[in-house]
Amino acid sequence: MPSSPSAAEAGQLLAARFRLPLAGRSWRGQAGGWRGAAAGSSIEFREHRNYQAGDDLRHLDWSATARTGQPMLRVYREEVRPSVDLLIDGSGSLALDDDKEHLSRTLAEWVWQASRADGVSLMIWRLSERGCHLIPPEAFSSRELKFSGRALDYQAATLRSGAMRVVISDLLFPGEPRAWLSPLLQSAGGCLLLCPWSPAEAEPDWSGNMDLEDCEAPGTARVLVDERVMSDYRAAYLRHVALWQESCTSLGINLLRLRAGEDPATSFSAAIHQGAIAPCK
Amino acid sequence: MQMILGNPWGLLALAGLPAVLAIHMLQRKPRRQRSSTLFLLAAAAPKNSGGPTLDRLRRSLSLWLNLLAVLLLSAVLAQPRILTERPVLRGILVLDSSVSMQASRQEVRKALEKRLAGLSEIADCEWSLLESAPEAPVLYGGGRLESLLLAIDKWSPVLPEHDPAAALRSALAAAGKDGCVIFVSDHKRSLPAGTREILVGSPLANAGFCGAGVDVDGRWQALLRNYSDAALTTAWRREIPGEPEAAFTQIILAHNETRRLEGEMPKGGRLVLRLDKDALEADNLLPLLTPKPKILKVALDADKANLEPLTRLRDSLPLIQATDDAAAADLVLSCRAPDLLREKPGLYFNAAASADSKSREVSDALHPMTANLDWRPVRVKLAALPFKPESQDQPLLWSGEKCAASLRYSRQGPQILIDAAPAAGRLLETPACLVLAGRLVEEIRRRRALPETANFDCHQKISLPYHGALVMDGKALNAERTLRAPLLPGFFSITCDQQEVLTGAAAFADARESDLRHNVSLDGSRDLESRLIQRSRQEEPLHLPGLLLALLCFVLGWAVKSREVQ
Repeated sequence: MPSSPSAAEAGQLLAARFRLPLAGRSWRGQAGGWRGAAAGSSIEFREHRNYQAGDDLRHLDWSATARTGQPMLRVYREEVRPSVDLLIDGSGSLALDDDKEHLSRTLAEWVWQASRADGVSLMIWRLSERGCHLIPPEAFSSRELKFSGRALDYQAATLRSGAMRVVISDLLFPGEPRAWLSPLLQSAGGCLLLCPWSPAEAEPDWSGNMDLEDCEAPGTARVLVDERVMSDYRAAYLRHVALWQESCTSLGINLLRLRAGEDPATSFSAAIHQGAIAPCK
Repeated sequence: MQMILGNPWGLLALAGLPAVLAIHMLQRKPRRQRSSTLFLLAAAAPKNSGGPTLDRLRRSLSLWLNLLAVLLLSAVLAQPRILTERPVLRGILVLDSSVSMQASRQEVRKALEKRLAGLSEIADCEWSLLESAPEAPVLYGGGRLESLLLAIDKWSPVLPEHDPAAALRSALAAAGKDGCVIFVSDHKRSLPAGTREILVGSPLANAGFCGAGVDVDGRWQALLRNYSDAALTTAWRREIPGEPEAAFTQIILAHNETRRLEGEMPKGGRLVLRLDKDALEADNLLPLLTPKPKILKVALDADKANLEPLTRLRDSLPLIQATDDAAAADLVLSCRAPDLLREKPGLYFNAAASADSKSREVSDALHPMTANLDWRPVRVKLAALPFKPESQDQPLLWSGEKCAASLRYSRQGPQILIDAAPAAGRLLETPACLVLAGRLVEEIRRRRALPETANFDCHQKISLPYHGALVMDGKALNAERTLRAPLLPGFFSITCDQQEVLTGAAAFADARESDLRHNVSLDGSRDLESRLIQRSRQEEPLHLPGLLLALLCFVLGWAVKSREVQ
């Protein structure tokens, strides 16, 4: 039986098939390999326009000028380098179990690999209870990511204007989703929420007297779990998930929930049609 | 209508309740898990108000199902039954009349009160209370337990060791197929089939007199025994009628020791030895009398040749008085035919000349008078003219085909006729012949109506040669019944036609009854309830439904438990 790939390998494999949904967006910024929103100096023709004083005469299209009788200028598309801000939830819940931790690292690896492949300007922020830590892309290693303690306040992170926001979080914390999501969208060039979840959260193996240890904080809660409690818990969990999904939908955020223990490629393939994930060309 | 338990032992299954509780508590030890969604659970989980243990037990459906199953199973095993008609029990209680039961009388009452009350709860009981003593009257008959207990209180067991089989067989026959016979005793013994027994004794240490004797010259001896396996300290004293009571003398007896006490009889001829109180009172009293046996007058009737051996024989006999008046004598030793003294009891030899030239051997004729005597050394020369035989003569000795000696009963008493001269051979020097003469004298003494003073064992047979109405201590005796000494120790006297003919002292001497070490306690009648229940009309409301319900609860409990685990 072949051993399962490491998170780095899995992320690399994913990056070979799927990319961030960078296409179709208006990028501005450093020159790069992506069409920008403005005219630029790439070889890709964009349009003709009337000559204006001060335009570079090297871009004058003599054929069009002859055809129209007006001095026409050839305008080429700007080629820019997209920017992506990756926010990684560093709380302990991302490592609730081995599968979820593996998935979380895989997703981070995938974003990093895909960004590198697309020449994306990537900024990586790890969110923890001590604050936001910037991880230089060249020093990033999914293997060295730490998931412990509580998160998740990204206010301290310096998010770039026009950058695509990619968040890896299980979103398991109390609070109003819209209030948490809204600041994320400010001057963002799109937003993608990659949300790993574990079956141990959706349908936990709880029965009778349980000592539940909070994976993000010290302390144990002794809870007597019966059918009624389980039923109430399931309802609360589904309500929580639905609330986040509704909020994301209404705010135009792509929320991609990925089940721990399953191949994320399956979910990615399904998400291509929604535009949440782009296939690799 | 009455509810009873057919098998009360089934209630032992209730011990399964704590077992089920313990199993559930062990199974429900809190499991530890990591969680990332405690904030979602906070609103759903209940608070433990009664403590985790209580809540665990209170809220576990499988536990309640298991407990219910155990309860139902216990109920089914206990076999609760509704008696639609009370059974009838006709029982015969046979009390052991042995004197050792005196030590267990209170236990008899307690045991029977409890046992019979229990039986009365499930049946209409009709009891007969008997004794194992033969020909004893019925102590009680009826259905009232209080009256039966009152009869037990009045009951006094005084008999020596005896076989209760006859009384039990009579009781079994009277009880019939549906009745029951319960023998109440203090120690185990083999009983007729069908008899149940209730043993109420407990091993006890006891000391008591087990034998005594008084010489004619006025010296007494008594045996005191310790019936226990440990040393025992007791005290004894002499009580002389008419004299102040002496102080008790302490005595320490080793285990199983038999100590001999002795002393001189007082002048009055009456003495009582008394032992300090212990488990059994009957053997603590020893009355003694200086004996005054019957003295027989013996006359000789012999020629010169035979006078000397007959004189020697007379002088060897005990408790006799020589007389020359043959007519007034109680017996004669004669060497003539009894024709002259026709009816006089005695020993008659035939002094006629012998026809044989040599002595011949004799053999006995299997008669009590000659039993266990060795006649091989005896040689006789039979007289040429034998005594004239009579039809009622009983042969005692044979010499060849001729009768050498015979026993004849005249109106005055027994006579032994020997067809040989006393001087012939060494007839009167052989032990067998002397013993035969002694037996004859004792038989004559027994039949002689003379006043007598003697010591007896309790319940010992007494033989008196009187034909008139006998009265013992003022109580007329039944002439058809065997005359016996009293059952309990004490002095007594027997009169005939207002003449005192016997003064006696009865002493307890049954060592088997005094030994209380083998007493046991046992109830061999426990099957009566189940038999009564089987005989009664009844309904078993719980049997099948209860069993099915218990199984259902077990299965449901298991299923619920499995679900909880999953």
